Amino acid sequence: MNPLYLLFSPLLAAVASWLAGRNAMAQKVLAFASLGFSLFVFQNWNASGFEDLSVSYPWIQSFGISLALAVNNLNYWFLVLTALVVFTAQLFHSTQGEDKVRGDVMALIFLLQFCLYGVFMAQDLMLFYFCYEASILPIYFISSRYGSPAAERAILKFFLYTLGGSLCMLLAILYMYNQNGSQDFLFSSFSSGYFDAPVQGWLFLAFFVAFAIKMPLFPFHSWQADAYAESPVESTMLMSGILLKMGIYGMMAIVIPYFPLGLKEYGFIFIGLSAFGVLYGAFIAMVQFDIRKVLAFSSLSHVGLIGTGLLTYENVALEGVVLQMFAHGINIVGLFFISEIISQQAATRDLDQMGGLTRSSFTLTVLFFVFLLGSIAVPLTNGFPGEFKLIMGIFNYNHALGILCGSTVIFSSVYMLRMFQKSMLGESNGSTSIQAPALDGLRVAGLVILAGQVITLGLFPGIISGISDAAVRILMLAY
Amino acid sequence: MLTITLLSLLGLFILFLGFSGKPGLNRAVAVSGLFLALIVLIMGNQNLLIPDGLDTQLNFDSTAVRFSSLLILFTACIMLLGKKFFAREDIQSAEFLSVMVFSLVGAIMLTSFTHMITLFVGLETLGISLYVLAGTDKKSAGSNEAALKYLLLGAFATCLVLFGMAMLYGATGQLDFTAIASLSSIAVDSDLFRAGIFFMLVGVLFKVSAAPFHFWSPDVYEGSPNVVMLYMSVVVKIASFAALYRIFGIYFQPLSHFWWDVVYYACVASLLVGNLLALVQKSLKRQMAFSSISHTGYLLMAILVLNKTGQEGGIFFYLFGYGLALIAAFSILMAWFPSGDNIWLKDLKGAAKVDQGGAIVLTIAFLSMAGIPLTGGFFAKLYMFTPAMGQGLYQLLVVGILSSLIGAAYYLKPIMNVWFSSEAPAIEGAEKIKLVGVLAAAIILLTGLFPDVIFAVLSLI
Repeated sequence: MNPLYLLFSPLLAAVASWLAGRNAMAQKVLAFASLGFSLFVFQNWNASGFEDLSVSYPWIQSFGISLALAVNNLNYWFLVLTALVVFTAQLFHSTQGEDKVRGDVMALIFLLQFCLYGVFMAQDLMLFYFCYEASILPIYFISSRYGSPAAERAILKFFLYTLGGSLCMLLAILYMYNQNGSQDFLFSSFSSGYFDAPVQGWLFLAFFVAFAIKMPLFPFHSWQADAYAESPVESTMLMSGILLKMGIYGMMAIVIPYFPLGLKEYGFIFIGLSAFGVLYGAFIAMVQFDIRKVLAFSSLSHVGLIGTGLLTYENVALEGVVLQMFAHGINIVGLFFISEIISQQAATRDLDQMGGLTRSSFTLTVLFFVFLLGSIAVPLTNGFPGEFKLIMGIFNYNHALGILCGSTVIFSSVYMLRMFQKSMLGESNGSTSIQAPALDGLRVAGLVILAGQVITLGLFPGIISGISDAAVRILMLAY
Repeated sequence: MLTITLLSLLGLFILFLGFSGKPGLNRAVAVSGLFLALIVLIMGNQNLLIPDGLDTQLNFDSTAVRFSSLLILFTACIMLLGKKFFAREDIQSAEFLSVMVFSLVGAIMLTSFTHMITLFVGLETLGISLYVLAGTDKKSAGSNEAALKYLLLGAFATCLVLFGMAMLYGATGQLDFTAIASLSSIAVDSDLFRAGIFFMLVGVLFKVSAAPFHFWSPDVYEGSPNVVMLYMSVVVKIASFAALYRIFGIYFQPLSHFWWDVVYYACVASLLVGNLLALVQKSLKRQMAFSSISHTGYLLMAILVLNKTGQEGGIFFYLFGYGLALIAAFSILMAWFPSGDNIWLKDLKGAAKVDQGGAIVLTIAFLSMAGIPLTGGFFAKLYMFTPAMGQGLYQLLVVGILSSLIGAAYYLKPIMNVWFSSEAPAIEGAEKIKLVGVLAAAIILLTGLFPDVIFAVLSLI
């Protein structure tokens, strides 16, 4: 099936949900229909193989920009994760009660999905850039409009940070375009030997800054905690679940294949920094009292591990990157979903004022614990295989660094269990009356789908790596 | 030439039409006259009917026709938007409109001159009309200040141009640009020639409000009535930049080593001064004035590239996108603040609650000026950056990238105020339909997805 259908289906859905406005039922139907269509397409592709799934149409001829799309072993799981995360965010939004459903939020989320599909499928650098930068806009408007009063500043910071990174990337892209004799932006026009070492160094830095801000890796993370904490939870889910994966994808699709010499030259600096970020995030998460900020810093720590593994350029680490990026997307989105239910019930996000929720809802407790185990990377959950491979790769690269990063497994159980304990266990705090959590059937169904993946992918990581390992093998040839 | 004649007659006709005392009629006649002139411009051969003597001084080549059609189109849009302004008791709409049409004649001459005399006549026709327009709001102190300031500084700049022309004539014995350009750069190399080029360049940079010759523009923009401010930042900017392009991008391009350094530093200064000062403004009109300086900076990049092919298309696209975005933005702002006084950024707070459609148009316009993808402004910037990259102007591009970032920061301010503020809306009125604004926003989005459309249209002219 032509990738164009997948690319443009969210645009149609966006128009429909804009028209549907505050009609919650229609919005739910649209969310399910869109997920269903995406999953149908993915299943279809998986069955048919990816060989014929590359298309190219002329788009802006005066510049040599083409609408070149492809589905391959690398981007397949990013696309699947996009559909799942977008669906979860929309599920949360459309089930939060009739008066809170907004057509513009749903439409903007669909628009974001369009941009994300574009980023992941693009085979043309300018198309990639176009979608990459356009993806800031929906999040910017959702967060600023429906976030807390402090969100406006936090999201402005996010916007300018990412725009700054993107503009560095734009310069690099234009440089590549000018060096390229065929005057086009196609990925296939560049190869690893295309630029000599000093140039690759500069290009590496320009692209790396853009992607590192998006992920974010230490020390480019300072926008993250506030943006996650102040936004409405839908956009927090999207930012943590899928937006940062654009950075990871960019590293795998552009930086490693085209600037391996640059990676060799400068990579070690950023390996050290992002490994520091792994521990830094974990330690800060341990002392946070805002439940969102615990999750935000845990995300910094987990993504730091992914980033470190990416930069080591070890085969096993790169295999782990794909596994872990998918697992992280599922887990963090589940955790944000549940944390929002909890904090709405407790009418606070302060962990010290919560407690005793286990008694009111068994389902919530179980689901929360499943995502939590996945996030700690307990064996038999989806976090384990990826994290194991990442740490193994880092250990191969440098033993001391491997041990340091390995300790994150312990630290993550500390802050995660602390969060669980403070929010769910113990006596209910008298200051707030806690009723049965707002978990309707649809929400449970959505969360069960996600939680099912935590277990399934923990038991059978081969579902993902069976496809993605082939892509990693090609990446390893770039040197 | 036919268009110039037609427009001059139109101006006179409107002046007499003023006896009817109906602003609506004056405006309708003016706008339809402009559209007629536009059709004549595109369909007719403009090089016919030029009187003897003038035929070597005006040349309606494709560059001239393209920029002129842009000027006429945007002037018509601005007249359409000025409905409430023309209907005001204390505004003589017939006089205003006819002066505007006369200034348009000057603007068109600035796109088509081949001779120093026609350049000068064009500059003066445009300039003198503008001094009058800036002061139209007789009872407003700001408008009077703007007129006086513009007159004094504008006259000064014209003098510089004239001084430069005299020196060039002294050095070469020629007043014709093509004749001067055909001289070899060794033959013309003298102190007099260098000084002549320099003075002429400074005068023209003054007219396009490039830093460090920009000091007039914020005060003049802020003081003038909104319609005039829009006219200055769109039509006058296009005309003076077309003149700059014609002199330095076309005729004097082979002599680039005489002027390249000056333009380079003016470009860097405009980018930095314009954007940094726009960041700290509290008045939206002043912010637009400083951002206009920064857009001059981006445009100067195209002059620096010294590459004839594609450069003109890029400049045209940029000016078209910028003008369109300003027209879209002001179509909404003028409907929200009909009294024509200064617009403060804080006045925009909460406006989306009253007029959501207007807020969307305004948002698209500002995003386009900031150069965010999905809008035409993104490709406009790309058309400036790509040739500069090809030329190896890396430091300049780093400045350009930094200033785009600063630009995004201040263009987001009005958007944030409009959408995200919890305060009660302070806007005075909201019309139901703003056709010009909606159309402009639609074209901005269209060019943001398919910029080639513009080049397809251009190739027809």
